[in-house]
Amino acid sequence: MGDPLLLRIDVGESRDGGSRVVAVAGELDFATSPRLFDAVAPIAAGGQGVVLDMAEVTFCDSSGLNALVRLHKAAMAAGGSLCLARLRPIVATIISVVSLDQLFTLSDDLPGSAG
Amino acid sequence: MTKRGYDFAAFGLSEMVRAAAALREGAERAADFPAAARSVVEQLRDGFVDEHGAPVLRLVRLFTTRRLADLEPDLLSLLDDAPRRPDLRCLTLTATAGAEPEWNDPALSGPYRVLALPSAEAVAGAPMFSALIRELGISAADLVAGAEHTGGRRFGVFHVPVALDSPRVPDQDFVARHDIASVLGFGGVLPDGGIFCVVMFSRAHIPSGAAEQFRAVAVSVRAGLLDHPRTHASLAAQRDALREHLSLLEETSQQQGATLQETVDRLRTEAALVDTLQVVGQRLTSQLDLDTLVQDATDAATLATGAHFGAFFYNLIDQYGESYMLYTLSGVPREAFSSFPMPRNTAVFAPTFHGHGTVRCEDITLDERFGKNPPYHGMPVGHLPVHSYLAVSVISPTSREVLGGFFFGHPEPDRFTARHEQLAEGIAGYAAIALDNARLFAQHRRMATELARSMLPTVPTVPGLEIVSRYLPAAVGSEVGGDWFDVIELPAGRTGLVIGDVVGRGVGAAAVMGQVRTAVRSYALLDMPPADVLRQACELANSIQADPFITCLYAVHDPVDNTLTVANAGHLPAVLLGADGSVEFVGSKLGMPLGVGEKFAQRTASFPPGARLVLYSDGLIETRSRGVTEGIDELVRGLRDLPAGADAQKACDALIDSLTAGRHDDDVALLYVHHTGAQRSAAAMEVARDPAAVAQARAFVTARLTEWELTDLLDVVVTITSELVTNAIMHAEGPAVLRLHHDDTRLVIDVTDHGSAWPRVYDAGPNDEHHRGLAIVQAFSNRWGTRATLEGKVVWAEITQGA
Repeated sequence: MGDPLLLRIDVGESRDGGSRVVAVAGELDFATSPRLFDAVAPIAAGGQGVVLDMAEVTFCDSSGLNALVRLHKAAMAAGGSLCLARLRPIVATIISVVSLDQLFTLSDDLPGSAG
Repeated sequence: MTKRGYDFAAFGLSEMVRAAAALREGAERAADFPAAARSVVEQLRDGFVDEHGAPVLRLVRLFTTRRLADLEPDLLSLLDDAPRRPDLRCLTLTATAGAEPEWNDPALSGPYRVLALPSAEAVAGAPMFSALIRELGISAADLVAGAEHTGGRRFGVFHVPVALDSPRVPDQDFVARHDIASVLGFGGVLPDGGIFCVVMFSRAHIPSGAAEQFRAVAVSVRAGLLDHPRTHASLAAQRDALREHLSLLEETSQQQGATLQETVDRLRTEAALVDTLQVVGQRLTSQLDLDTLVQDATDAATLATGAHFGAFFYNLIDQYGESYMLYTLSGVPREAFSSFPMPRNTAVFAPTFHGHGTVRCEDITLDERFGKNPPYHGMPVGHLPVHSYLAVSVISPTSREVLGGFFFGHPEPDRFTARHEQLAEGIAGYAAIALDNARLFAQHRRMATELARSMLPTVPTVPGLEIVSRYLPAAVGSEVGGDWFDVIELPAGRTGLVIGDVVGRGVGAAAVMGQVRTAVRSYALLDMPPADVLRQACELANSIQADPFITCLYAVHDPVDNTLTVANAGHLPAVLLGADGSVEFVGSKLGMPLGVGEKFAQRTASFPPGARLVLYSDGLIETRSRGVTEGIDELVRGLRDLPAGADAQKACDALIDSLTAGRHDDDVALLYVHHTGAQRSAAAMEVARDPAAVAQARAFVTARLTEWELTDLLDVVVTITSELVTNAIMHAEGPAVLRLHHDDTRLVIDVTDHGSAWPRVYDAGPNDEHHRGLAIVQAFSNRWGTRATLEGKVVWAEITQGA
């Protein structure tokens, strides 16, 4: 379902006691969001902290937001966490427009990175 | 005479002719002179009656003068002390007839039987007889001398209209006792020199008109008496008598004819006066145009008074309530007065401007009021000479206010008669009514026009459309009409165009129009399809008590696909003129008038750049002399003939002028819409029911906006597009259409689908997994909305620029 070219998901190595970084690239919409959910939900359900590196997400609409909300709820339910890192302005704007900045943990950097 | 009898009050020419003939015949048939005289007095006594048929002549006597030598012995014996000259003239009672029996016999009449006339004093002792001979032109002295023929006239009448206390009726005792109202006598000179004299005492009043007729009666009576010559009258005398008889009859006829002619002339003059006034009055009081009215009145009055010139100064009140004076002239060019100031309340003019009555002067320059006021002390230098002067106030019959005054002048003195005054006053009276009417009418009309104008909408500026609107109240009548037009800015760059007509006039029609106009506008702003707008307006029309008959055409222009979607409730079709000159009638046969029909269809027509659309009310094309079809043909011709690039405002005015010939009997409403197509971009793509289509839609929008150099809107438009298309794919069946439209002021994204689910904005909580799409659309657009189509719906969002 959807054009794989539009969304790339790279799940990083699990670090000890740390969060797992998932790099997302492309556009999040009605067609692509289910793939993000399907890929990340098992990790979140494991209770591990998840950091979504959104630096390469060029577009996100309400379908993408819905997927992110569901992932967030799954992580919380498992005692873990979800962090959205390195949002592009367009995506940050859309998140704040619908007040989801109050729900999500947002970060300008990748946590645990050297920087 | 006649069984009916005569009435002194109505004794005219024809009565005289009949009475005179009967008297003459009666006298002629009698055996001798006394019998003839008796016939005369008896006929008179019996002939004149009152309204109940009772005789009015109490006493009628016929006296004759005779020579002493001719008297019978018994008469002679009554003249004891008279000189015994054979030629002595004696007045004898020849016949008598009256109400009392003893009045019917001369022998019983005592002192009246015979009176000797030896001297002028003796003649004076018989005042009625004296009066008669004076009428005959005979002096008492001539009579005494036996020279009766010296008299100039052969017939005479004396008339005492009121007998009571008249010195000419000596026996006042008789007058009082027998209620004598009038005395009438007539008589003449017989060929033998004798004078006959008939005296009638009437209890009915004898008017002078009736008395006048007795000159001719005297002629006939004389002719009747002539058949019984007391002396041997010569044949010549008889012939002379007949000639005299004839000539007097001719004279009487001529006199009567002349009197008749005079009466006819007088009546004609009066009739003409009444006619003139009536014609002028009718013309004036049916005239509501002030300028025509005052000029008409001035011309008519100047003509009727025979004035050399006439002027009408009248006061008007402008829209600010200030009074000002204008004038019209008749008989002279305006230049004759243009150098003079308006007349002031000088001694001469004041009575007219203050409404103190008519001023009529034989010669105004000799009037004491003339020349009293500075600076001119009379007429200014260069003023037309005026001697005869007539001035009449024009006073409002409703407010009693002086509206103005008519002034008439003539260079010669004594030109204006009482009749001229009457005419001028009559015309002034009509002019006052007419001015009142015209003022009230103008006021009423101003109010009506004001009302109609205040109900007109402001036409918005729509990019790509040049819109000209016109509303002209009917040129006649003062009532506001029920025509309207409207131009409604609909969401997404679409424009609603409305034209309608509530049949009828007056405040009622205007009120219904106001309601229907507002309803159509409101439903239109709800973005209902045109047919639904009319259906809803029809519901409203049905709820109006007055049972109005309303026609209305509603067209929506969509700039994205350049279409017009039209619904029509019985209104005349709109004319759509293509850039190539093709003509299409839009909106025919789509529905019956509001309040009549219930089913309304809609149809879509192409409205590309360069095309023109004209909506109009029937006042534009239907006139008394032209039917609807010819009118529409003429409109189409007029539109085709409009030069390309012509100023649309002027073109519309010219179009209306040529169609109505400047005299529209009905209201005219017109909407002219020219699709200039300038500064407008549009694009559309079909969206499949496939999630991947969302990305395709974003790519399409990105490409278009890049083309249109609108990349600054890219993020916003792409986001909105993504949401709208996602919704269409998720909730609707079948393919959807995405459209993008941009003009100078805004960019519109809309998605048409076949779904019936109506989008709603939910207040999504942080944990809500859905319902954020429309919140994003709302946040990113300036406005957004949904409208129904016949097949589904359109969800749209608009981004305004430069606002």
